[in-house]
Amino acid sequence: MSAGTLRERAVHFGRDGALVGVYTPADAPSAGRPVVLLVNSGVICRVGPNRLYVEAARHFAREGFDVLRFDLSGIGDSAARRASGSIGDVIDEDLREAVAEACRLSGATSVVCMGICLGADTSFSHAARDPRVEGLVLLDPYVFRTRGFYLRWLASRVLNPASWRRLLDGSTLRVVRRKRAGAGAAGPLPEHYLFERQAQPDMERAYASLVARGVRFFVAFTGGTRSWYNYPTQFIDAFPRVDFDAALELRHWPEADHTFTRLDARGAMLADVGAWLAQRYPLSADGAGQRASGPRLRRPA
Amino acid sequence: MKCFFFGPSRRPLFGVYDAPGRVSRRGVVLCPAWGNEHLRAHKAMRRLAVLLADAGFHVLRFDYFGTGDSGGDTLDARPSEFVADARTAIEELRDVGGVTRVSLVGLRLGAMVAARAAAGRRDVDRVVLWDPVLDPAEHLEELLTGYGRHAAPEPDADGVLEASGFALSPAFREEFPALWDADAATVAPPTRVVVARDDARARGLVAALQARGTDAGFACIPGAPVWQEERQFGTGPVPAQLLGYVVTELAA
Repeated sequence: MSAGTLRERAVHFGRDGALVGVYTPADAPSAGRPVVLLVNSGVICRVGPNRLYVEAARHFAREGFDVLRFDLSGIGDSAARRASGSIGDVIDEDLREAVAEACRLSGATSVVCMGICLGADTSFSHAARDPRVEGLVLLDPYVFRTRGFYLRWLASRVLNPASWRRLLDGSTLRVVRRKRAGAGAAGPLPEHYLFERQAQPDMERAYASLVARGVRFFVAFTGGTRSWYNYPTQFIDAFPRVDFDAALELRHWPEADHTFTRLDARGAMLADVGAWLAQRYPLSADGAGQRASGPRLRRPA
Repeated sequence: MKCFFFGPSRRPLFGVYDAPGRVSRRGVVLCPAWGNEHLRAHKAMRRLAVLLADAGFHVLRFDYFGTGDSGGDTLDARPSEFVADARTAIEELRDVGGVTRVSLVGLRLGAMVAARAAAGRRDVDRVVLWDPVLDPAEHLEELLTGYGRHAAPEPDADGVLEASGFALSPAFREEFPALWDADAATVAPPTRVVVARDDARARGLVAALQARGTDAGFACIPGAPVWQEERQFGTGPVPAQLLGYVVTELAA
């Protein structure tokens, strides 16, 4: 086990100590670097899908970053909030407290928030209101279908003989009818899934504002998003008024699934994110951290 | 509720302790399932802990080494050492809660861990085996194929298998069958087997326990298993009636 793992500790924080987390200190001094905050993937507890967040925390600690993984209110071991307000308000307050706790534990003055799916969306939403967030690792965040998406979607069906066969033998129609019949029959969503995402113009303004503030992004999409994301640069095309340039590291991993079930895909993702963190927030010769300007935007192959 | 790490420094275990609302000398240790079953059942296990604490028990939930928040990589997880972890948890609960009697509740693979951990201990007064794994080979197949959703993977060059997102070491696969064998039917304390889906093998286990003179009982409380995913959110259900049964049996 690494030194960081041996020094992991459980923490209770926030109002009335209602929020629960596990803090993983860096294996080596991390002064000046941001602390990494891992935000729940959907309603899965802080361990993460397939134990991914535990692996991520320890990997980033080996790379020299302090990490806090925690449970939002009502998820995992954190108590549900009794305060009124939308779920978005609750999550925002939770993140505010988590950022404060992560900085307090680490001695850092800024954080990099990382999350999958809903965890990515809530991290992005909170970053717009919290100047302590200087980096975002967003895995499968919400993004809009673009014209390019629809062209590719249509082409994949028009050019695929199997699609025509399904259309002509009635299979496609049966699938559509089954989906419509099943819609709404599965019961209510978990409360956290009622989190409201912004409309495209608002999201675009939020991204632009974050870029102007100097926030850095590592954004990746897996094969789990193929129903709404199907080409590498769709994220950039979705926000044409945002000049991400050097602020963005974008990936498209169609072979990986939404929760990085395959060990090789998960390992590659952690290595890639870890390398990005180390490059963006290197330690200087005296051990103090500094932010790197980084390479210009690299479009994925 | 208090979260903390305990156990030897080379083998840190993550635990969650719930204190009772009144003075009590009785405690319960919850032995979890493994892999995605463990993660999906988290809500249900947490709810059970709260109900038990409300009923007057000191309660300790914990993660085996190499699982959950505990130390160790997933490849470090060894079934033979899960039993030792459970015994460490018993000792910890006795120390933290000042309890003199401990009951064990084991879910799925955890049921076999609980049965083994109880062996030879005079301080374990009751055992609940919840949806116990009774066929190790069948359970490994379930884990490797995602309950039949895909073909079983081939081992890599180091003999490691991928069990739906979790790495299964060769040692894990070799040790696992030994976790459940005929000796498990020698659980001495009063034992209750509770299942969400009726299972003749579970009834057979109870019969075997009774034949050896153990006070054993069986209950089937139908419902979706807590260790299966509810819809596609990565979590399982919280079966109020089944949890109520467990609390009632332990409080009796």
